[in-house]
Amino acid sequence: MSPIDLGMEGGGPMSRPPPSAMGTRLTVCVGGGGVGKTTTSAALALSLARRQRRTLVITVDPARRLADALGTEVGRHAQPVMLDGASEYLFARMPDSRMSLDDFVLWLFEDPVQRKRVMNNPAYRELGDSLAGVHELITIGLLQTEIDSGHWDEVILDTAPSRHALAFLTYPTRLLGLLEAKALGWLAALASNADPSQAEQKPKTGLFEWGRSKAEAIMGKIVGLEGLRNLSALFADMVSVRERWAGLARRTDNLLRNPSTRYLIIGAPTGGAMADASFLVRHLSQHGLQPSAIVLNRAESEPPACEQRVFDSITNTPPNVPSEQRDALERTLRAMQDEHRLRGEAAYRAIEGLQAIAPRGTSVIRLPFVHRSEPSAIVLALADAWQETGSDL
Amino acid sequence: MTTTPPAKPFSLQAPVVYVTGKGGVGKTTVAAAIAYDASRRGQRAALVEFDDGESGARTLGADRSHVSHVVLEYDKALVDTLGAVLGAKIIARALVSHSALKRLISAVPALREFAFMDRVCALASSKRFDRIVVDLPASGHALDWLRVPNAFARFLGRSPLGNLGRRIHDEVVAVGRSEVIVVTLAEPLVVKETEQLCERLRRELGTVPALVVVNRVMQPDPDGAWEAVTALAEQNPSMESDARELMDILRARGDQADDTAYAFGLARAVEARHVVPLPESPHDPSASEVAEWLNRGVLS
Repeated sequence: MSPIDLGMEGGGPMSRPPPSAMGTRLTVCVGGGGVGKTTTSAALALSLARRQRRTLVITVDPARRLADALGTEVGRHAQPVMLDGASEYLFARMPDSRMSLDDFVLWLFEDPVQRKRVMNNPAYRELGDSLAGVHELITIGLLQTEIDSGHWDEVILDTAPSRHALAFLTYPTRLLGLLEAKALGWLAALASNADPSQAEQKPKTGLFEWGRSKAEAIMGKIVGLEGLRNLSALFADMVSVRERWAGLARRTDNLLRNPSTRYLIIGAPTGGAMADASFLVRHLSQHGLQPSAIVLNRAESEPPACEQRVFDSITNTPPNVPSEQRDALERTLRAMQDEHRLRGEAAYRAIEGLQAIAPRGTSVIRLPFVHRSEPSAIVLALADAWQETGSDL
Repeated sequence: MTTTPPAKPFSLQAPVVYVTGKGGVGKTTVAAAIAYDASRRGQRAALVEFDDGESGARTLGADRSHVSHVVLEYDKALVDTLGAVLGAKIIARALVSHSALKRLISAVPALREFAFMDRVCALASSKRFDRIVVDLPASGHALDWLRVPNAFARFLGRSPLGNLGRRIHDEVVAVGRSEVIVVTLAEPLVVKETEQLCERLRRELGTVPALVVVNRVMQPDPDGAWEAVTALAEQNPSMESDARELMDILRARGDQADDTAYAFGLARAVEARHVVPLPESPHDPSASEVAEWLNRGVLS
């Protein structure tokens, strides 16, 4: 009954943990691009898994390299994550969007003839990926599947890196509005009446009929006969499964408004990320929601102590190496000190800025700048940092 | 160590320039800088953003007066586009303000992207600008935008909207009419995504980036630091664990140099006309600063 579930073809569900007794808590991570949202979400998931919470992290359209770092792969199913301390408790689901869209259509249409017709429709084939709302739809479908499975204590959703990632919050409601619109039924009916120029000659009763035939003529004029035929066929198929859409939209809306669902805004100490964070706080509150926490990622605090100790050591008792090597190390350490200072100042300003915009009851959490380049090392270090914050996250 | 390409100023040939890359790499900053640079050379330049001009306005800052900052809004763009197809804006406005039709139109696949691309085309046809710099959304999404006009042409055939799609493609997307600038960072995840983007650009649009910008490149550490800290670890037992920890950090810094080299290799592999590194900056750089770095073409 869940969207995007391929029990038959997939081995995924077999390797999952048994059902959770306590119900599933959802955490939605949002933030602008480049703040390290995916690694931060993965780290949060890891720290929960270390506390033996059965945890799933969902990332749509991830970089393949991240999947490698987590010891898992991009694909249709939840995969176990191979990281220290994650054993048997941490899973990741990293689908790509075209795959998920096709899976969604498979779920939506039970009738194989209809499925085939939709997938062969030129409108779907040419524009499927860029269809308005498709990313929201996929996100919702995946989310609902996993929540319904009852396997998880925690589901972490890593949304698209955009200010508009929250569009999926309103998507269920918008979808319902659309499905109840008279116009959709009308356009669907055009599938059997494919020649809009004929519409004018039909007997008309009342203003609505008159307006309708005008509208048909205009639509025909814009997209042409062939286009109108394809589009209306697609809509007709969608309308025929209206109940399935509507059920999904209602359940998702309930889930997103459930008091146990948490929203985390992830930021970083750059002007762009700060502007995004403040935009997202306002945007959530417009939907009557409040973030549980604003997380400042890459907030430099104390520089690693080893740097100062090495600096002191080579100044007091120079190692037995050529002097230009010693100079090089000294210059490197000085450059690192400058970087620490600048990053520290930026983090300080960012924390002040975030505290100013955080609504009452929203905590501001800082995660450190990790001096590593490998994604897996960054995830591990951030997971430690999550645990050290001591917050219930 | 990083091999820096010989310094040469970049040049752009087509009037319409699209800027894209993974989220958060500094697309808007580079787009604003390109527009600023054109205006400084006496060209009439526009920076085009969609829906929200906040980040462009922030980057242009005081330099804004040189560049026309065009922020396209969807509702307006749609009325303009439909108005052009129907021959009268008033009909288009009536269509989109009808409550049922409004919902319906919101469900037409990719109409949003199409309307925005149509407005870019209208700006280009207006001849008001010598250079139009379009700040596109992040990687995968940007490709959808550029493909949409042609996709409309294919599935709507010879209808007015199909014809319009063909015109948009021919005038502001086709090779020779537009150029693509790809912004990346010297970080493993970002470079990987950039590689996928360039592959898709070539496969789906037949386009090679005119310029690859490797943003926020750190100066490589001077040679010898590694040897010195290794010697310290071996010679001074009380310093060994600190020295080893520092070696991990230096290794991560060295990785950045490798990733930079990798990004350059990638730019060469996809036959980008130019590749330019921009330095890491402690503050958010302004459009004029970035324009200067782009012209220098080498690490500061």
